[in-house]
Amino acid sequence: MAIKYDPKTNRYRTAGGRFISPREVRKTIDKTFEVVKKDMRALGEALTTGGIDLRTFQTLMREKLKISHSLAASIGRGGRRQMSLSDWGKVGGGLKKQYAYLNNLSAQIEKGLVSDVQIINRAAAYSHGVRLAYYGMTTIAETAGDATMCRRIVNSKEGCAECAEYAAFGWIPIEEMPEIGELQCSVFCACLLEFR
Amino acid sequence: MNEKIDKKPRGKAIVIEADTEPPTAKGIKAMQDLVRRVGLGALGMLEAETYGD
Repeated sequence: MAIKYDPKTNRYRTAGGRFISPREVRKTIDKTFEVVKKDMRALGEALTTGGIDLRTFQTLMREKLKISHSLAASIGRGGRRQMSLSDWGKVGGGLKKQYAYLNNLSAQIEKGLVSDVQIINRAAAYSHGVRLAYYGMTTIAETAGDATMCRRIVNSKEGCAECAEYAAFGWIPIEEMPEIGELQCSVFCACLLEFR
Repeated sequence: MNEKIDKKPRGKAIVIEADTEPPTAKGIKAMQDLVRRVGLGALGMLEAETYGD
C-alpha cells in the first residue's frame, strides 16, 4: 500500500513501482477540495444559525485553511517529508492572502453587510485555495527537477478566455505560464498543468 | 451597496495574523485526519517516502 515519491521523475509510485499519473493525483486534490468545501460551508451555516460566533468562525476557518493548504502543498511536493522550510514559507505566503480575505469578510459580517446566503457561499469559496496551494508547489517541484516546459489543459466547461488562450499555446517555458489562480477565472480555475 | 442587510449580532471580528511556520505535530495529525476522509491513496501521498530509499 505504501506509496513512494520518485524525485527523479517528480511522480508518485505504487508499492509495485507503477507510476501514478498526475491526473490521478489531481483527482485526489479535487476530492480534498470537495471535502474542505463541505466543511467550510458547514462553518458558514453554523455562523448564520448562531451555532458559533464570529470569532469561533474565524478561528475554525483559519485552521481549515492552514490544514488544507498544507496538505495540498505537501501532495504537490511529493509528500510532507519533501517539504523544505522554503516550501513552508511559500505555503505561508498563500495563507497570508487568504487570512487577509477572511479578515475582510469578517469585518463585513461584523458590520452587518453580508447576508446569510453570502456568508455561506463566501465561506465555501475559500476551499478553492486548495488547488492553488497544490499547483504552486507542483511548479516548484517540477522546476527543481528536469522539467522546463509546461502546458495548460482546460477542464472547466465554462473556462475563461485567458485560460483558453494559454491552453492554445501548447508547451511553453514554465516561467511563461501563469500559475493556477492568476488569470481571469482567479481561484475558480479548474485547469490542469502538465510538465516535461 | 453598503447598506446594512443583516442586523443579526454575530460578535466581534478578530484579526487573523500571518503564519509561515510548518505544521506542528497537532497540525500533522489534523492533516492526516483530513486526508483519511479523502481516501487511502491521499494518505499514502502525504506520507510518501522517497523512492529508492
